[in-house]
Amino acid sequence: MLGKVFFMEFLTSWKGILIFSFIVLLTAGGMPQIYPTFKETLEGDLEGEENLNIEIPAEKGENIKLSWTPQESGMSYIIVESNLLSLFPPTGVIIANNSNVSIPYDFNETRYYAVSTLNITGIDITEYLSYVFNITELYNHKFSIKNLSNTTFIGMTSTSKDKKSAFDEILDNPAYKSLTGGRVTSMAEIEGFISLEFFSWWIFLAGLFFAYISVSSLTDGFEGKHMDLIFSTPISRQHYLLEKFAALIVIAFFILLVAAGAMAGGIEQIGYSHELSSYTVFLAIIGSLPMLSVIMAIGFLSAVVFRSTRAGMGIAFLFVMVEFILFTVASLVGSLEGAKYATIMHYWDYNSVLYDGLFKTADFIGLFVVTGVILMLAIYVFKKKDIPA
Amino acid sequence: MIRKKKDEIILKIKNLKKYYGKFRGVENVNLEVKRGEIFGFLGPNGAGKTTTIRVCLGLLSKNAGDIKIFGLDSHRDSEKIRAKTGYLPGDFGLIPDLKVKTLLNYLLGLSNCKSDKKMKDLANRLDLDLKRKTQELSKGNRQKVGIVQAFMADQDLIILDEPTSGLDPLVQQEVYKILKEAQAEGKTIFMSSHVLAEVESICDRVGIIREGILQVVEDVHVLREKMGKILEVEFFLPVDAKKFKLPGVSNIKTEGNKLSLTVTENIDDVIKIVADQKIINMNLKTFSLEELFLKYYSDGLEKQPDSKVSVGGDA
Repeated sequence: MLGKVFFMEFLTSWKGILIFSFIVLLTAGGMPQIYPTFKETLEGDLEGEENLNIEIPAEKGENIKLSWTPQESGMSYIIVESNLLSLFPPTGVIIANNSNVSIPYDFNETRYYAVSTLNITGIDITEYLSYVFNITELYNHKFSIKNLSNTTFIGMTSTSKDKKSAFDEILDNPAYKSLTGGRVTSMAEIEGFISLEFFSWWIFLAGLFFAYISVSSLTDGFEGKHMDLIFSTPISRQHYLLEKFAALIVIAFFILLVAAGAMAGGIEQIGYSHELSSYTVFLAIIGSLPMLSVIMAIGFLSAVVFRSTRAGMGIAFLFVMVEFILFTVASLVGSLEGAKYATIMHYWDYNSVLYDGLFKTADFIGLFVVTGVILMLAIYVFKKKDIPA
Repeated sequence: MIRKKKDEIILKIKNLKKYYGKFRGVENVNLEVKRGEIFGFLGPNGAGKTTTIRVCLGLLSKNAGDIKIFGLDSHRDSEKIRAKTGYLPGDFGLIPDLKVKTLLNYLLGLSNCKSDKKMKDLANRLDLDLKRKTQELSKGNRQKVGIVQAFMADQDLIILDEPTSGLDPLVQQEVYKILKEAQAEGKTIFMSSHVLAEVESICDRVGIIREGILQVVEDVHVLREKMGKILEVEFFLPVDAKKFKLPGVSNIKTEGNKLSLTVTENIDDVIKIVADQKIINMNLKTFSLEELFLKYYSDGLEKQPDSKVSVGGDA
């Protein structure tokens, strides 16, 4: 008797597993392929940098000279200055009638300059400038954006060659740092790229899939009216549920192996395995197994409570969403930090594996314990409730 | 020794009550099924037949009462009971995307039965193609799969909920044969039906359930005698109804040349009187379930103490 339900689970769900494996193969294996181009974009020249010429004095107190190729005669120019590549918020705006400006060199950080032509016909420039520093008011204000529409972007430059990408500037934000456990991350590094582009949404991709197959694995039996045939045999409800769950854990492990293999292979192929080893990738991805097992246990519980795919799926999906939102909000809002400990995502610290090579075994085991508790509850409900005709 | 074993009570239901929330499933059922008999559980749709069966198998919980199968408690020892019981549900689906053989082997494995010989033999007799995919089967073929799986593990008790539903008459006959053979092998069969003729032809005893309450348990031949048959005759000339006023003859109605009556005894005398005249057409039929109920209650048989000989016990 042992193993029959276990093997039947593979037989009935192999098509779904195959399709999802293919999706995982594409995403996990394909993501590293984007990285080299992405890194090049981040580290390359600024847009239109060749159109600008910047002379930085050796000593502070002197002026920086910024010049560019003159456009049509009589044209004015707007130079936006910021210490962020995103140029928002700007630290200053200069209007120039010539194709060069002098800017006092009295700061330590890297500053960015963007130069555009400016058609100021019909605009009170003083009024305009007073609104430049408040974008909301600018957009809500009476003067028409159309008046600014025929500007031409000339180029961007900075005071330093060692510039950060706009992504990295966002990652420097304390709010984002809290999501990475206070680590300074960079999208220009393979760990940062993989962490943000793959791991941060893995709970959705894998979580929702396993919520789906765990719920339908049981509700298919209720709705397809197979349960009477199954439970006319001497198998107990507890045994049936546990064998099914064991099969789903094996399926999840297989999918994670596919994901890890694809990603490790992808990183190897682009030649970055010396920066992020296959072993680290495997540990980081396999580390999500207990998180998925909790999601599947919730799927089982909602399936036996509601005995309907729609209701069961709704609850399981809601669980994944709430977990993600709660974890994100708790990470961003200091006063809610405690709530983070109540989320499953907190116990899958892939950043710790990626950056520090530290696999948190206690968290890994802890989530399996939580799985066990939820499963026991599911078994209790399954035993108590009637099997619908 | 064999005699003693034959009297063994295999299934005993006492004061069973099952409600689905506010809705009645079963109000009060008491019955006993002995080893080696084919027991028919008769009643109209919604009477509580399926509920009774599903409570017996532990698929449903009960609100009150006690069920013992093989002397074991139906709820507490459900797995032990199911190890010795084959079951055909009244309404079931098959796991899709599987070959019939794969599904049956799966169920056989869950029943701890190693041999698939009986499965193949039954499939062959019912003309069921084991290589077909489950989702491709017609209702009749699905029912065949259900019958095969109920009998294939060679269990001592077979519970069948409307076994011939959706089957053509030829296959129905084969199923009756299978039932009789199982009985000959000493197996006990508890089957529900709403087809009186089916129950009459193969069951030893019958229990009639109506609106959740078991009305009577009776030997089939006793029931048949009590219920009698309806004789309808079309004569060449008008007929005098008074001629048929004999003991055991009731409900005598005439309409022109047509006569209809219910015969419970003295059929020989009735036929002789009929034969005195020229007949155009004659029909002798059994009661439909509905007619049986109407007759049963209108005749007030349930009020006669001797008619309720076996409610909750032996006939």
